[in-house]
Amino acid sequence: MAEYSFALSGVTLPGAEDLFGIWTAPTPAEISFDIRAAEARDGPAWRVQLPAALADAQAILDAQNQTLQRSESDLFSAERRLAQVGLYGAEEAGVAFAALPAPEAELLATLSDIESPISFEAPGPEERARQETSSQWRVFVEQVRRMVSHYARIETEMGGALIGQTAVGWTGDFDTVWGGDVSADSMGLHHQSVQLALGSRLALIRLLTIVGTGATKLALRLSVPGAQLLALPAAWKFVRDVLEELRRSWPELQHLVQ
Amino acid sequence: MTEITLQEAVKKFARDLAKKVNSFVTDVSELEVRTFTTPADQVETFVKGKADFAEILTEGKIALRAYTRISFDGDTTVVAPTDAADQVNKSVWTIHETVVEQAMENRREMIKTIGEAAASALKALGVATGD
Repeated sequence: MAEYSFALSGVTLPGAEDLFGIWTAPTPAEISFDIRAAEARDGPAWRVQLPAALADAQAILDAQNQTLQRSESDLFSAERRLAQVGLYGAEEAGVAFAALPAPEAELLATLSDIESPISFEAPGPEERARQETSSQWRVFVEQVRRMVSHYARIETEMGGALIGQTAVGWTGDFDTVWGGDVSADSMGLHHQSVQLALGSRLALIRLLTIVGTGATKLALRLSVPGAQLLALPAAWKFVRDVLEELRRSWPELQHLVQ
Repeated sequence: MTEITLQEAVKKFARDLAKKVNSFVTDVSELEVRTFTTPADQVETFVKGKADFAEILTEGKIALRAYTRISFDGDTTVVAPTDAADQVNKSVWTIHETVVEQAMENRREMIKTIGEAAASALKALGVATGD
C-alpha cells in the first residue's frame, strides 16, 4: 500500500491513540513551536495525506471510511453491553464474574471496589490503574470539548500537493479553498476526507454521550455519594475496551489501514 | 482529590456544552457555504496553520467562487460562478453543490447528536452540582 497518513492535531488523544483507529496524533517533537501555538489557538485539524495515484488514494479512503462505519456499529454494541451491565443484580454479577467477557468482569469489579471502604494505605496497582483511567477520561472530555469549541479544519493532500482545505463551523457552515488546477476526482477525495473527519468528530461526541448515559444507569446500583462521577471513568474504560475487543474481530480491514 | 477534579471537569464540560447548545439553537437557523479557489502558486499561503479565512483573503490571492446561504425560514441566497462568456462555471458549481449537500447532511447529524449529548450533559451537570 502506498504512503499515506491521517493525522489529527490540536487535541491530545487519551493514551495517544484514536479510539476508532483512524487518526494518529503527531508527537510533540514532530511539531514546530509555531505550528503548536497556531493549533492551540485554532483548534483541531485533520490532515489527510494520500498518494498521487488516484486509485490508491481512493482505496485508502474507502478502507478508512469502512473503519469508521464499523466503529459506529461497534459503538452501538458497546452501548447495549454497557446498559446490560447496569441491569445485572449484585448477586448475579458476583456469581457470574468469571463467565463474563473481560470488559464486563472488570467493570463490575471496579463498581464493587467503588463501594468498598476507603483504604488509607499507599495506592496499589489497581488503584494506580484506576487513577490512570480517570486521568485519560479527563483528557478525553477535554478533547471533545475542544472539538466542539473550535472550527474543524480539514486538509487533503495528494502526492504532496494540497487539494483543498475546509473549515467547518460549530453550526455547520462550510468554507472550502481549492488548490489550483484540482481535478473533479481529487475534489471528490477531499469531500470524502471531510466526511471522514466530521464523522469521527460526531462518533466521539456520541461516545461521550454513551459513557454519560451509561454511568448514570450504573450509578443507580451504587450506594456511595457522587456515584455517577465515580462511575464515569469506569464506563469510559468499559466502552474503550469493548471497542478494542470488537476491533480485533475485523482483521480483514486492519491489514489495509496499517 | 480525584473526585473533586473529575467533578470540576464534568461541570466545565457540561457548562461549555450548555453554552454551545444555546448558541447552536440561535445560529442553526442559517447555513452558509462558501467555495474559494486559488492559483497553484498561492496554495502555500493558506496551508499549515492558517485557519483564519479573513486573514487568508487579505494575504493570499484566493477568490470566492460560489456562495449559498440557506435560511430555515425558507429564504435561500445563491451566488453562482460564471466564466468569461457569462456562463455558469459547471465544474465549480458542481463541487459547490456537493459541499452544500454535505453541509446540510452534517447539520442534520449534528443536531441529532448534540440533542442526545445535551440531554446527557444536563444530567451530568445536575449530578455534579448536586441539583
